[in-house]
Amino acid sequence: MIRNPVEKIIDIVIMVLIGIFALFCVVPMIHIFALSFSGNRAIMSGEVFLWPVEWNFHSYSSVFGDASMMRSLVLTVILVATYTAVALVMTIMAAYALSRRNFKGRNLMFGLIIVTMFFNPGIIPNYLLVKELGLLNSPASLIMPIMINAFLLIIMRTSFSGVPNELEDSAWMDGCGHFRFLLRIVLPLQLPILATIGLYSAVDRWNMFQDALFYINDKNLYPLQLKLYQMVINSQVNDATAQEGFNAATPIPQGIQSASIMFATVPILLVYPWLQKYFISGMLTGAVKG
Amino acid sequence: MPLMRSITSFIVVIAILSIMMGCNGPEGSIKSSHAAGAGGRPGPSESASADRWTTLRVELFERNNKPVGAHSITDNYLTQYIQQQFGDPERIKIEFITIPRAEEVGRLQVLMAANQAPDIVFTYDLPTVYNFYIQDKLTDLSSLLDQYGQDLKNVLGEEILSYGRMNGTQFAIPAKRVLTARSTTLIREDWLKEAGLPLPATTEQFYEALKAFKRFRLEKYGENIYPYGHIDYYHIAPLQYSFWEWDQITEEDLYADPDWVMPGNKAAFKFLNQLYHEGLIDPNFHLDRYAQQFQKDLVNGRVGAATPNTIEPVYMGYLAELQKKDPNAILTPIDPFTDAKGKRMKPILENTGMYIMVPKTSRNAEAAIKYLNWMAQPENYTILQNGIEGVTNYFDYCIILNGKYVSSTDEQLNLKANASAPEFETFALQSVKYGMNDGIATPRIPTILPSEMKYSAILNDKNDEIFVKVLTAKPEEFDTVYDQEVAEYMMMGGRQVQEEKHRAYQNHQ
Amino acid sequence: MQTEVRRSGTVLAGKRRNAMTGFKRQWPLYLLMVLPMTFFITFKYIPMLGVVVAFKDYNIFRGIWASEWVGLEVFREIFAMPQFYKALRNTLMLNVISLLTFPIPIILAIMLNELRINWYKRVSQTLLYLPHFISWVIVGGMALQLLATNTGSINELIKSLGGKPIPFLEDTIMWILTYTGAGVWHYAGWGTILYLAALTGINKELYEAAEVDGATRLRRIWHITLPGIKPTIIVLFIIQIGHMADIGFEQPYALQNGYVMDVAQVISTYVYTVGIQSAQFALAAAVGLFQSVVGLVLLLTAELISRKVNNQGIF
Repeated sequence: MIRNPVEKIIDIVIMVLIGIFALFCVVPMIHIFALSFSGNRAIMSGEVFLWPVEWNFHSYSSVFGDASMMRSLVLTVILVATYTAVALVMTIMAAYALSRRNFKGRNLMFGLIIVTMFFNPGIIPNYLLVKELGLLNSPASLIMPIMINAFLLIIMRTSFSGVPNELEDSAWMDGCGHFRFLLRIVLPLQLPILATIGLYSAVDRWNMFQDALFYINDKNLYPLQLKLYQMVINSQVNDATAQEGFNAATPIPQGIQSASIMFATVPILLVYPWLQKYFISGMLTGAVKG
Repeated sequence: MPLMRSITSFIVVIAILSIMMGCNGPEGSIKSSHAAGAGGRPGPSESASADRWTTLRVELFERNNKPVGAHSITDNYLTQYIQQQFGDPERIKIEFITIPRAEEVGRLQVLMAANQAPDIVFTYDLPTVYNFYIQDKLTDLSSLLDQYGQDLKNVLGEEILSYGRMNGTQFAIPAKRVLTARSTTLIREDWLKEAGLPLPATTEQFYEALKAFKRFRLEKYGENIYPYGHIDYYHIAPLQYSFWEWDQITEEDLYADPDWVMPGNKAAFKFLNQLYHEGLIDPNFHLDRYAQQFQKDLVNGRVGAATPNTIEPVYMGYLAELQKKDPNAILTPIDPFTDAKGKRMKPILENTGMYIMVPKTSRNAEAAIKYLNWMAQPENYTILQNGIEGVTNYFDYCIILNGKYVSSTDEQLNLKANASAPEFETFALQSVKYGMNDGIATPRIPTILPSEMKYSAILNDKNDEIFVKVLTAKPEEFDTVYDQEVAEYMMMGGRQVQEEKHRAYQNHQ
Repeated sequence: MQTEVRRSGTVLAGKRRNAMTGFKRQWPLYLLMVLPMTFFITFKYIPMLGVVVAFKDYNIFRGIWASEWVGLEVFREIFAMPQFYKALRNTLMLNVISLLTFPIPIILAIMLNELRINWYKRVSQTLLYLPHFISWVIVGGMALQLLATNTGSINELIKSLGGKPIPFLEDTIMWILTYTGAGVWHYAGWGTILYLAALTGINKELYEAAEVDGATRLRRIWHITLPGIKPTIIVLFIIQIGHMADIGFEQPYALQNGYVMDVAQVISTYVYTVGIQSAQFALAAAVGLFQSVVGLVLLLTAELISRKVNNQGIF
């Protein structure tokens, strides 16, 4: 391949720009990383910025030593995996049906779905519903009410609409029904979008804790992010100390908070590299096979 | 297609999980936490007369800050003690329902709305309590208190109980707050010595000390410090009160009028505005929402004085940190803010803590009162309040008392018990003494004010906003900004609240 | 190019297929919709009955239907509050400014796509996603540590280099920029994923042909890459327009402070104070309903315009 100097310069400019943006993204995380390995004194005196001061593993040993953190991690992983699978299956079903051009009533149904993006009933009606369905305090309450994200459904449907209709026609001629067409042709063609929607769902569920705050009573069922959130929010004790006076509880040191953030972030970060291979195979390779 | 295969296998997993979840409704989970809470003793279900046991569900704050290896807050020495000493003889199974501390109000509102609240609930948030009362959601505890609550009545006393009563209905049992000192000013005595100054006894001397600190640190170390730390609306109250013209303020005014229109209040903020422009308070004070930066600044010798919650430096541990970092540092409680008559007026806390309630949906009101009454017996609250090693927030079990309570007659003993750490006892005792000196509690009227319930949250936010604006206003614009902001405050509901409070006060007399 | 090809194919196929649109061919599609529609009805529409709250003197304990009807009183009350307009104005302002950053993830995605060194591409992609995993509560705390004028690490750095500290969080204009910057930092990298997924769908042969024709890189981006991801761009843009009147709670709440409340008080934080903290659920619900209606109107307008201009929308 011939490369002229201008092209090379453009390459370098792009690399530099991306590099700067990546740096901008990574600095705060490095800061947290540095805090998590630093001594309490150094943190208090504000000496820690991008590199740990007074290296130690105390913060990590307390996080890993906490059985409830480990249990919470396992629970969260199972929850996220289950949720992602449920969300993917449900979204695929709806996205496929709604992407078929001759499907009667699809605009009505799609409209009904889009409306739900704008009307949020609020926590109490949602809570009452979850209660009526008998889902309170069960992991199902963290899955069922958010099984389909309308936004992701729209994205997937847009992508499915890109599957040429000729493929459907020829499949129909070959005696291949919708189910086989979806499983054999559409899904293999759409791996990148499946991986994307799967990743979005997984990360959404991983990061979310507000629903667990209300639906889950048993703290053994708390997802990791809820524990983390409470740890951070409980350290912001100004109001609480004013109310409680002498009873105020000691906040968790910033080092341990930072180690907990790392603990709650690194596992989900590992999902992406694993999914990345699905971003490479594209329409074309699929279409040839199909 | 590995992704496809994993999707298929996931579907199988879901099918299995959904079958499992089907039988894991609320009943299922209550059963399982029973087993966990029972701690190995014969549970109700094992005895033949299972049906005669009652389960009492009690709210418990979850703070998520237990140290590694600590016992679970729902199953430890104290919960077992409660079960054995109170539960077993009464044939009551105590079950603790944890509620995240930081979200307690929202969580409680939802639980109450859904009729899922435990038998004993509590909150510090008075508007929430009043809301429950207005909605008729709370059990009237009057007769049960007479019948089963003698010890509880003795400990709390009539005045405190009266704050949970309206029109003859005892809708809540307020906890007793043992120490009511709210905030105490502290100063770096070692710095004063270096500068050749005495401990400030007046506002003027305090101001001189701040200026000396600033100059001194700059000359000696080339450090530009902001000597007066922890500046927020709540914590500057002692300074603010010292500027008020108390001979013009009646009890009714103190109850009904917002701080902003008190005679002398403007002068207080003018003074703070001056401190700001002279670089004596941190120009970033309003960014430090949770006073975390303040603690760091104090430990690092960038702050020479502050007015935090009384004894907070001890129980939050930053006094110890300061001494670890700088062994020569001496942080000393002072009481400098003086009004025209030489008095040191300052607000103190109400003598009530949280409000304990029994929801109307509860069928165990009797057991609830028995439990609280049991807790009010000295041998029991002593054990509950002193806890055991490894359970840090053990004070959360003894909900009827806010602060350690040792004696009903000797205040000094209670004080000592609350000093937190023996090495800081003198500091703590002195802090409380100054925090109480000429302290004045805001009068209370047992009535519900609709306008206050409606506007209090937004007006509290507005307080913080005005605070920042008037402190940072340019000196020549100070008066304009102050008047304009206060007018806005009154327009946003401040006026309605004020008028309603005046009416309520007059009706009550 | 590709989209045009597809579209002409559709027209032909549509004519040929009239016979196949009957129930015999379509029943599997209805079957596929059963579960999803059950989901939307159960979890979205049933609780939505709670929106009636806005028209009632809502008493959470008596339940929705038992509460008294107060007609439009709640709305009248909201529209009489001067702070509501301020919050609405700020919401729209911050959203419009954020809309200006809409192209950033697109540009990032195209640049990533143009990167030729594979390891560099992978590493920088992963780094770009990092901020999305840090919740706003934590970002709020870090903003203070990094950006405070007096003690923030960034300003310390500026000062040590001889510069003047920048009031990132105190000056109103700087705060708006900080808010917007934090939004870009948090979402832009993550937003590239949707575009990268769309980019994989572009026929590689098109690029090869263009290269043979000697098209410059910019021309290839303009004529192949952008048309290839245009459907995704349009869909995301329309959805963002639909969300102009509402704003998340966590980002403004984490970043606001007393000094900038004039621009930082937005609808979500205002509702939190007035509605939730004071337990005035009717008020919160009414504001929500107002936002929903405005959002829906904006979405439909954007959809109609897009249909006219691009011949494509989200439907």
